[in-house]
Amino acid sequence: MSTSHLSMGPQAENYLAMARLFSYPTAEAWQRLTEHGLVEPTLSAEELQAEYLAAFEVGRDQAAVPLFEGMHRNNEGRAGILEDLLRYYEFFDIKLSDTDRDYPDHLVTELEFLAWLCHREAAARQEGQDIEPFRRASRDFLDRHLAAWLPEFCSKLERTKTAYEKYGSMLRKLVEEHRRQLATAN
Amino acid sequence: MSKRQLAYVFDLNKCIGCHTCTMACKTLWTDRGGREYMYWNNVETHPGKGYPMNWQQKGGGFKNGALQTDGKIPPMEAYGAVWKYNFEEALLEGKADRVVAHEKPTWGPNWDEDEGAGTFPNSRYFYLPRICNHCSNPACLAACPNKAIYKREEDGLVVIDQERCRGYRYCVKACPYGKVYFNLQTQKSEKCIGCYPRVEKGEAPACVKQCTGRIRFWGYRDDQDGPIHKLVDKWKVAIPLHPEYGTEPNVFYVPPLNVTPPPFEEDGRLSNVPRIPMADLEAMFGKGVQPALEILGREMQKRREAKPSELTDLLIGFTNKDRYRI
Amino acid sequence: MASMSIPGSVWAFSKIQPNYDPLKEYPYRGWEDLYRKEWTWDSVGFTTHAIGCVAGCAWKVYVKNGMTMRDEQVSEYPQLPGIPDMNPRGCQKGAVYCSWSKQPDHLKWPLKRVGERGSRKWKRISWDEAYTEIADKIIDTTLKRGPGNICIPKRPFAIISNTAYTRLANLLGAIKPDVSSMTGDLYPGLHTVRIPARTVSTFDDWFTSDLILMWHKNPIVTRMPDAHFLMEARYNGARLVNISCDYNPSSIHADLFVPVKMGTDSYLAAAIVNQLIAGKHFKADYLKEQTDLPFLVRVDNGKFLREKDFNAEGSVEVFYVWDVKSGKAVPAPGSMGSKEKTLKLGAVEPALEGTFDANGIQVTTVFERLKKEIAPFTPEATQAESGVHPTVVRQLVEMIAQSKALRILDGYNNQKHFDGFQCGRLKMLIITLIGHHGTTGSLDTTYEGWVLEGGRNLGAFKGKPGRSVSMVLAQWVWGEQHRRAKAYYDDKQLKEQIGFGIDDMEALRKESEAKGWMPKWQSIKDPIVYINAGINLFNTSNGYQHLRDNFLKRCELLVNVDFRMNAGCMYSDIVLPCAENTEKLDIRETSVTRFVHAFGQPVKPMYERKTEWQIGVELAKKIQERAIARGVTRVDDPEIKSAIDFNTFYDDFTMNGKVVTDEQALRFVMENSKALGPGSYEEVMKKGFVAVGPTAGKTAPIPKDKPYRPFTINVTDKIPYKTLTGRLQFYVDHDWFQRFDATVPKPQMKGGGHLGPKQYPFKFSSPHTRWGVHSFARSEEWMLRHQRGEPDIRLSPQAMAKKGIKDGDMVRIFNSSGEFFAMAKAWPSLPEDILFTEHGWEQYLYKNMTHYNMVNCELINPLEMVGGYGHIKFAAAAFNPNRIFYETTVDVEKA
Repeated sequence: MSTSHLSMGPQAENYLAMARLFSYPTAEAWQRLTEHGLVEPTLSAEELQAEYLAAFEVGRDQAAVPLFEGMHRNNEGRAGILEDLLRYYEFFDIKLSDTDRDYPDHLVTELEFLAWLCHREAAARQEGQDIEPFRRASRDFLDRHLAAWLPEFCSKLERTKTAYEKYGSMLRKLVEEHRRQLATAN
Repeated sequence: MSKRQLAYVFDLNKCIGCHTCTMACKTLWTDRGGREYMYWNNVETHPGKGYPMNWQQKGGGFKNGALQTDGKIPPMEAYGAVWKYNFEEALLEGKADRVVAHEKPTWGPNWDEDEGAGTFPNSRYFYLPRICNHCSNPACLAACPNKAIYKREEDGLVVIDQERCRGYRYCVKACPYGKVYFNLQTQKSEKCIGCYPRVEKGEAPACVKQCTGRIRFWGYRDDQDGPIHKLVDKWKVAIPLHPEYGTEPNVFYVPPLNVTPPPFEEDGRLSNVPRIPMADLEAMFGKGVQPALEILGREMQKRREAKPSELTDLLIGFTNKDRYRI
Repeated sequence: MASMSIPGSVWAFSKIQPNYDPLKEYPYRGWEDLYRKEWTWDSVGFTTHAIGCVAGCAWKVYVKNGMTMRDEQVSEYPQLPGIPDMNPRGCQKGAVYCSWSKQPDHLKWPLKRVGERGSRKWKRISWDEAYTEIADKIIDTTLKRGPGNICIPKRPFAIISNTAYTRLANLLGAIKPDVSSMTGDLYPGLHTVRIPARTVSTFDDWFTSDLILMWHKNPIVTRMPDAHFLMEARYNGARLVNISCDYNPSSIHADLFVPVKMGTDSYLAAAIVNQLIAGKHFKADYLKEQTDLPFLVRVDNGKFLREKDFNAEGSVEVFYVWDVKSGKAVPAPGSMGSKEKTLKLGAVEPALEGTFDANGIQVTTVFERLKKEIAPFTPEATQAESGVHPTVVRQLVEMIAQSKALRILDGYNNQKHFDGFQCGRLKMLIITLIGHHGTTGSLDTTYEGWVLEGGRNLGAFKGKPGRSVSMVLAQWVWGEQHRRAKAYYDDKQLKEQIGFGIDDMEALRKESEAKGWMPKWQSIKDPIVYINAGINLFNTSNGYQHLRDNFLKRCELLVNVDFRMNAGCMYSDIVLPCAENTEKLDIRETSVTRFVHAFGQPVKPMYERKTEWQIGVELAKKIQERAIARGVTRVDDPEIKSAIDFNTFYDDFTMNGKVVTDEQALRFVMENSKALGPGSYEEVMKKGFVAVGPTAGKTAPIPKDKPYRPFTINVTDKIPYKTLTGRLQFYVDHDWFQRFDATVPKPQMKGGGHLGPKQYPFKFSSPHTRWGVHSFARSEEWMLRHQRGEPDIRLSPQAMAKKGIKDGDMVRIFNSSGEFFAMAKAWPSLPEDILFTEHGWEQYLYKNMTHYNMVNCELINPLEMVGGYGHIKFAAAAFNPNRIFYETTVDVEKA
């Protein structure tokens, strides 16, 4: 699996695809992930579910890798991280889902938020509006949150010896690429 | 001097050592951002080492009006670590044989809880809740080379300007009460802010409003009808902790009744010596203890004889409004 | 709402719901802006943190973007004239709840065991899978083994949450164990004197007392929101007395501390009674009307003089007093068999003392019997047992005699001792002798419930009573505790101290069951399906590991419902996640205040958690579905003259669709309760609390402008008590009470406290903790940081020196029946012969997964298995064997 497929799409799409990849692979979700080439069809839905649980919930030989930022940055304190994230979401009118109730520091929540920022950036660009607020927000959000814990998350994920280890590096490449883009003038 | 001064009275005869104040402060201000180890409000058992450990020996403050430069910075061990526990590993993954702190606990903010001194049945202890004293003559302010610490004009609260602070930690050394902390994450000093964002909205500080033992009185010192003026200046039953440090604290304590409950002779009869030696209390609160306790004892006796007492009514503090107001 | 997606995208959002406003600008300049923006909340909701707790406090919960951020007390209770108000109510455990609920030990979705029981390896399953497995197992078990092999203990401390399980159990004919006696929270001794035994004033009434005895109770630690009333009563002129085996945090605020040797309080109480009688400090008029002390007792056989003694057709529940005026025995009004439902004596003037001839039968009074039997218990004679110097006893008696408004705070620790049964009766005698009970004073236990008919009606189902049992007896049988107790206790020593050994105790248990005094379900049924809700399964037991191993052998499907992975959940086959305190819609009623508190559901349940009423409704639905699919209909249950209607199970559970949602169920409870009624639901959701009306009181109406005090109408309106004699009853002439020489209140146990083998030098005390409500909040990280970070055991410095133990050392506490490990902590306020740990610790926090309850050994007082005697009979949450925790002895060594 290469990341070439991903880097071709708009950034928002990539983040959303990643959000789905790191969500629990129900049969339906697995179907879509395989259709879009994110998951090899040789890995059945049931097998992928077992891998997911091994990687994120119950562990296999190693401890499971939590999907929450606050649990990777223990010495910074989760309460402050949660508060900061809520302020970001509030600023951009993001409501946390009523149906899939989860904490604001879940990986998928952060990925979906970045997807939204990228989408708003693209929309603003199309309509000739100021795109800088969205780029600044993406940059800060990556610096302060996702990129701050991703390396540790990925290195722990690699040690799980699960199918998800390679998805970690895909995600890392995506984020690095995005940060490079954000660092250069638009 | 600020124009007005907010002040506190803590009644140690009402304190039940429940730490609701501590948790009220913790969840409002210090559960994040490098402040996790700090307790802007803490409750400690005395006699005891306190928090940070041995703060009464740390030095600082003033002597004969001169700022003392011998103050120490308490090492991190004196505060204790913020223990993290392996819940997932032990309970959800079945990989550890026990839920346990990430490091061996050796000290914490309440390590010597209830210990005190003496021997059963004549042992003794009391609870001492502590916050920043928001002193009229703050040693932290005097020590800051960068003028980052100031007393707010409108209410006398002592705060550290987080933008000016350079993290030199002279204030940590200078505060003889151990109530200034250093934030390792931001590399700046931080301390109790008297909940000024709440105060500005007319709300009492969290530790005052949430005190379920109802031991905390709060308001402007110059409010003649308020509980602070009455307890401190009129009835003179509330006195500062370690007045000899020279910082002129604005937190005052009603000292613990020391003769009750009576201790016992060898053979089990009641003894008539005080349970807590007066010298113990004077070492903490100075010479003001004895007169304060005499006044308190006299007024309590009046109530036992069903005579009225303004003082005991004040200390009962029937409603929120009676205990705090601005 | 349908999940939102980006236009043209193949992927949808799941965890966020962006609000798209093309015209809105976002002038985002840098992250500091986020902090400059004032900290605001989206909403403030109400909750209470009453799980396991009887306090009842109104809390505000600040919510941001669906996340609970911080708890703060409501602090808006009204004031009663002249009484301090109760603001703010709520302790440090409530204050950190939002933080605790984010810890990873809080459950997210249903889990099914994949390894051995207890191996803590799980897989996530769907609710449907869980319900199906449970429903099928319930049906299978009922068909194969007959009804009654399903057991549903519950303790979620909120009305509809709790009642969901009551209703399930009733419809299933399931075993419903009494969880109050399980935790040692009953007062069977007091029950013989007054009904209900567990009765309290509202705690603001403490302020009205002039003398308060804190006895077997440490309110500074265990009643935090109410403790201020003690200090404030003191400022108002009251004196506080603390009677305790250790110099605890309540002792430090007392005017008199009485250091009684652990477990010998009955001797101190007897000495006080002795002196009150000797000094004539009793109020004869009150005693003649309100108590059975003037009742006549036959000299020949020690039985009450009954109507039947004169007339073969006469009642055994009509009793006599000696009328001084007419010089003859006349029937006393108000007893169970009396037609006169009043305590009014009319022209009769009963004799309190004397011996008389009643138509040829020699009789005396209860008071005479009492005087005679209590006479040996002088302050001097009891000193060796109680350790209290006679001068201290006399000083205390002096204070009691001078008091105008005595209050005794009688804590749960009383009946966790063997002699607590008699000690409870003695305490009642103290406050009764001076005439303060129901007048100016009160003996307050820990809590009682308000009368809310709607709650009862939500649980009850006509013709389906379920099977109530004593949990102590059930765990005695299922846990094979007889064997363990026999191995631990020294029978010779027991016989010397209490007159019987462990085999005798077992024979008495069987006799009680055979006579129908105590339910026998535990002896003829097994806990095949066990749905355990809101209880930390083995934490409340004696012989933790022994009970666990033997119980699990009998249990085929163990389901735990909780909001967090407590230690008991570790052994489950299925764990179901219920809603957090902040996620449920419910109310909590406790009678320590006049207010009922809201679980106002400030946020909806996160993850897959469900409220417990919904779990009940959905499980009921699945049971009906599976039954219909399998062709199962009605299963008769002749043992309880009932039946289980599987094919209409959901319809029955929901009253044919009337109580499906939480709001419907809660409104049903509130609107059908006289003391709440229409409008109370709206009010409690708006303010976080609502006051109950006058009818909520069990033994007196609740006055509008004064604190509630129980049993006052018995005195003012001469209403009989619900005891056999219709009086505060101090004489029990039941055969077993005669057999164990316990007809009057006096110490039952000899030999100076403690029935554990003398070879172990330490008594073991494990009372309630400051840092949790039982195990609630015991795993909370900020709470742990305020202790030693792991379980500790307190020793006196002298004991430590003798044993070569230093503060901070890991030590092993042991006896022949078990061991556990903990960190040693020096406590100068402890006598040398006690080891002390605060209770509620989770098993998983201990080294080697041991637990403080592994060294305790079960023991049952036969007087608590008595039945067939007026009001003294099995009653859940009122009369059955209370768990005795404190008779165990142990030793300690450096680990």
